[in-house]
Amino acid sequence: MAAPVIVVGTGPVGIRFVSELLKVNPFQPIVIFGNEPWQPYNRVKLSSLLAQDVSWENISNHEWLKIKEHPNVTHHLNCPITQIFADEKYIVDDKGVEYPYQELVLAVGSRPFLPSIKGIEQRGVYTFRDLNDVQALLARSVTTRHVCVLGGGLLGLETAKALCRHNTQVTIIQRADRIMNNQLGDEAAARLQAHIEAEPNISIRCKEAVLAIEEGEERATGVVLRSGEVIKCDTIVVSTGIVPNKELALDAGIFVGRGIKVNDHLMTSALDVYAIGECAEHKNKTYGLVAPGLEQAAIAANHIGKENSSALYKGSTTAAQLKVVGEQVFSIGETEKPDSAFAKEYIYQDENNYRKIILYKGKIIGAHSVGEWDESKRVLELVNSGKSVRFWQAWRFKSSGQLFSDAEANVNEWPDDAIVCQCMSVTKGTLTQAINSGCTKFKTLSENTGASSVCGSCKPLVSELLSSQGPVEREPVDKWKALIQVSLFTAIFSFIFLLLPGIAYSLSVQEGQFEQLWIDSDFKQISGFSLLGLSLFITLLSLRKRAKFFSWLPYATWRIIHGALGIVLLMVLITHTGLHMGENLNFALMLSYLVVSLAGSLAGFAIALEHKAKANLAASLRKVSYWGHLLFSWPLPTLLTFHILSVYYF
Amino acid sequence: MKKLSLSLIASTIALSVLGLSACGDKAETTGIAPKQFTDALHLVMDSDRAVYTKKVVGRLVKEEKVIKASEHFMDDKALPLPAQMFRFGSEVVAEKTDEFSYSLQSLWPINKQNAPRTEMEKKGLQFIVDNPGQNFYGEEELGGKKYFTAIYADVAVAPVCASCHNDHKDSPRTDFKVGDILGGVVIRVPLG
Amino acid sequence: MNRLSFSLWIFITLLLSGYLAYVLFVSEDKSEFIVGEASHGHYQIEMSCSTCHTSPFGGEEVLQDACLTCHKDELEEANDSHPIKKFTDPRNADRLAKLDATQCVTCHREHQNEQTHPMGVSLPEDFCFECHEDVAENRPSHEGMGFETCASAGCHNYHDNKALYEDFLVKHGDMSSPTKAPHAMKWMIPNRVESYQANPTKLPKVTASVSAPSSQDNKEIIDIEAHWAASSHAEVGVACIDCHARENDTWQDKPSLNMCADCHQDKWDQFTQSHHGMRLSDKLTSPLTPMTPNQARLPFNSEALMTAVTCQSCHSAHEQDLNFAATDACLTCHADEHSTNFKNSKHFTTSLTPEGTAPDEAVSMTCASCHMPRYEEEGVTRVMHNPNHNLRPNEKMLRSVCMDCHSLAFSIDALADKPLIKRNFVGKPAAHINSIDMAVKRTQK
Repeated sequence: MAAPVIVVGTGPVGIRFVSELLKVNPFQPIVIFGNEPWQPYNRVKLSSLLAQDVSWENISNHEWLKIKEHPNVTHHLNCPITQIFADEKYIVDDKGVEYPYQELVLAVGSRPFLPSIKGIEQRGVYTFRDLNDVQALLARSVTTRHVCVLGGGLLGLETAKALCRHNTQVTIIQRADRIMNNQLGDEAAARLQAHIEAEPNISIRCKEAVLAIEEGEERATGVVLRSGEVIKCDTIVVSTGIVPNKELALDAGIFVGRGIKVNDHLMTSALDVYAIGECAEHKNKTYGLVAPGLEQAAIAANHIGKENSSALYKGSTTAAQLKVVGEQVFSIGETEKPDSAFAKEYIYQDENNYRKIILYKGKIIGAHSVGEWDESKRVLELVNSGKSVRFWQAWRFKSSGQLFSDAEANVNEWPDDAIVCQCMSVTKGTLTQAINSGCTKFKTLSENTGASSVCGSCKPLVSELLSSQGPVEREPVDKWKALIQVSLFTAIFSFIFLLLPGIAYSLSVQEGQFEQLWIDSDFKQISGFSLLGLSLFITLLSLRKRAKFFSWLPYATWRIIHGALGIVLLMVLITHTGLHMGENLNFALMLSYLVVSLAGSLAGFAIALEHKAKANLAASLRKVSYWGHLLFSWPLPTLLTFHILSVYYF
Repeated sequence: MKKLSLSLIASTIALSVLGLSACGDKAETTGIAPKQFTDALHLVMDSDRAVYTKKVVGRLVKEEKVIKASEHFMDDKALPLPAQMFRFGSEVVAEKTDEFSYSLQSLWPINKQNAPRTEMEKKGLQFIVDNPGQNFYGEEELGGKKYFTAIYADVAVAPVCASCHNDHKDSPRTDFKVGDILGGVVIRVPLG
Repeated sequence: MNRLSFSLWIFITLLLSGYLAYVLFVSEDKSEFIVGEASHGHYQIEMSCSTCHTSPFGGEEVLQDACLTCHKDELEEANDSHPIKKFTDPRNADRLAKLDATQCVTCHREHQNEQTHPMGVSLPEDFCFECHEDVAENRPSHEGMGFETCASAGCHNYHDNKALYEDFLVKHGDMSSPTKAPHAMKWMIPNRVESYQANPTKLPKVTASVSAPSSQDNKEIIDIEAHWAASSHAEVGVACIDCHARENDTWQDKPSLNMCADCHQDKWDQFTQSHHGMRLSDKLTSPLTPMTPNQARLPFNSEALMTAVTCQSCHSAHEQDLNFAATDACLTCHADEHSTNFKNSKHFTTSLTPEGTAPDEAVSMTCASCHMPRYEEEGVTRVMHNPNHNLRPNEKMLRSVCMDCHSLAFSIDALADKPLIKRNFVGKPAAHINSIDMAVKRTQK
């Protein structure tokens, strides 16, 4: 029996490699080694875990759950590999056990870079890289009062955000003149910094070099800056970058540079040994993000699993689309305009967005943004494909922040080779193919293609693709059942008004005098002003969608409250009118209220049942009823004002 | 209307409070006590009606026999009865002022709407019947307002008073004699 | 929402607000704000809003004053059984809390067509219950009667009981018809010449010289002169120019209605209180056009729908034809059952000439006999020019009309029988109203 393919490393790249290889050759025996005691997890979500936004269960690697039961896959967790014998084609673990391999894949990743600062080796100084670090930091976070994070890169910022609690002060110390200096230009960085510092307990110090870490009796007590200033703190997290784990390869005599050197097939200098992910150095470049690693995993798996595979790795464009401290940040390529007559840059900014594109000879060589930019995928595509940016596109970008017109923005219009999911390098073509072959649910599509399984930022695009392709089963919106109920009752009450005659006036003064509610002027004033108040409040609720500053309770909840208050309004309206529609202005007002209710309830149904109806129908129904709801609301303020005015006028 | 007038009412109250505190005690010392006021009113009413009863109705109907007096004086082209004359006067007063009001009531009313209605009226009418020669005074609250209420005995001054009350088909009592108390004049003055 | 649609939204909102503000605060035609059809009594003048809503934001006091502006005299004349002045006494405070009888609008709320009963009452018909719940204590005969029948069965009215009060019922309780001749003075055309001559100086005579159209060879004008010569106008010396040239001393082919009103003020007042003329009333704050039948709610002849109703609808300008005015003028327009049945009615077919002489249509009864009855005022016989006057409620007809010929008992029965009225009294009253019997019985005890 032939020796298996051995994979060292259970990070996302190693796991991805296994599943890619199984896809190419399901009968290939695979052995995978991990040096952590945990089940493999999704490293990208560690900061969420640290912030306690997600639980332990939520960070497990979905792909792992599938492959660990695979009959041809053997796994050794908590089993570090200590030596490679490349010539003899076997490896040795820390207990001295030897494992022969047919092909060896090194996905050993990287470790935090610890700068040589005095005092860095003492207690109270942490790194943030793996689950062990998370555990340590979580334990520490209970007692810490002031944390210094060294490094203002992505990871540093995320760590700061995760550690910042109401009683914990966090200071980020960045050596460069701006945060995320690899991804963002000056202005964008300043904007992001302002956003981060809006958090009450975070402050950022740029252009500050750390000379030493102040040593205390038990643990570090502060950070000494070059200026001599000492920032007192009880916890220090070092987040100054990563170094590839190349030592294992180095010991085995494999060529290394910054990382383990690989060729276009991701093969190292040793026969049948591959390296992928953060530990690999391709054409003098190492990549610190997950997406290139996954790309490499797929190419290596193809090369190993398929004879005469033609897949070549050509390097990755370092594009990052990240949620940094709650703010969407996108970056690709250059961050500053090259000093050249052929280079141009365009900037668009408004209250919530900063976007910048850098062109060289008409082609985008860099772009970054702070704030949601729904075109980021297309920009990436533009960079990768080397297409030129037309002057009207640049002009449109300057005025509206959009490179593409609305029609172009539709993901369905994208070319097949455009990448939808950046983390997993899933193209639009792959997705449509998968959809057409039966992955009509978001979950199955995501599992099969890997799209939207990492950071989730492309979920809307994937959903959009799903909803427009073939027979669909789409994701229901949040609280859709409650929304149906609210819409149903709204419709019922509206129809009660429209279809039932006014409640007949009683023929006797000796009977119950319910009707005094809609006859007596005192009662009518009470119900009338209640209606006014409700109307105002309900209108205010719809601002939840538009006002960014107001973010208490999710939008879906407010939508239910909006609808429920609408029902209350209709009920008060019954006591105000006794179901009489009135005449002239009053009739117009009543009709306005009812049509608005009906359109609202229709919109509610359309939204709640969108995942069940035909895509086009659902979309157009939603659009029509939403605009109807809006359109018929416009006369309401005027009619209501004049109704009240006329009541007192006459 | 209520809401609009509310602020008006509020400012009126504020102004009148200011006004009151400005006038101070002076207004109280120069005013007439309600009792004095109603006593005087009653004296005028009583005298006028006595004149009408004797000098007009009594003379023209009984002595000179030139005209009749009738409850339906319009249809019958006759004189109004003294009690009607008294009531019409009170209605004219009601149209012109709300500074005071008065009515003619009885424990044995011909028209049941003229029976006592409020507790004070019931008590007062009984009081003047039980205590001939005395008036009744009291204070009561009606419709959220305070009133000084005075009740004066109304006596059959002429035989025709008694006979008319005895003979009317709606009269609950038929044994009145001249000098008997037929009912009472109720005068009300709003307080405060 | 982008800037364009936002500005559009603002623009349309301002447009709508501006329009509504104009209608509410400036325009006299405020139909957009009418909350409901006006009652039968007021719908003709509905569009003259400020006649009742005299001051903007005036509240209920203003409305109360507006009611009395037109209806005060009428209530006084009816010897109102529930006048406001009876309820202001504080001893009635508890009653007013239930039913504020000092305000007309407590019972007569306008623009509430859905809850408005006959006579413009917007309360349930058993409203008497609120104060007279204990009526059976003093009137055992009323035990078990529904309160909704108090005012609807021909026994009582809230305001006008002049022909219904107990002693009146007893006095006229015998079932025989009146002894006086039915066709006495009341059915004769009064001698208006005499009455005019008794009081001739009503208007200044026109003295200016104006040129009137020549009558030479003009057939039309010759006819006019002939008609005029035979009229009371000629008899009392009212000449052409007295109407045709009184305004500005220049000749007017069509003198305005003011010319009629100037001399016939009492009739003008009555006419403008009626449905026929209320749109021309001096009391309206904004003048309306004369009423045309198409604006009214009764059935009318289709060819007459657009005819303006003025003095001349019944009285042609020059020809005096009181027989036309009294019946045929009415039937030109009115085409409801009661009107079309008139010529089958005994009122029309029975001659009022003394027995033994041949029946003569000219002295039969007319529409006007009942609806525009003659009445005497300061010794002068006049014709009531408000045909609605004795119809609200119709018991008002008892004294002014019916009892001239019929017994009270029969009249009450007949007026309470709605189908009989539609047939224009062809047949007998279907039901008997017990009010007289009850009154007589109680008096005998």
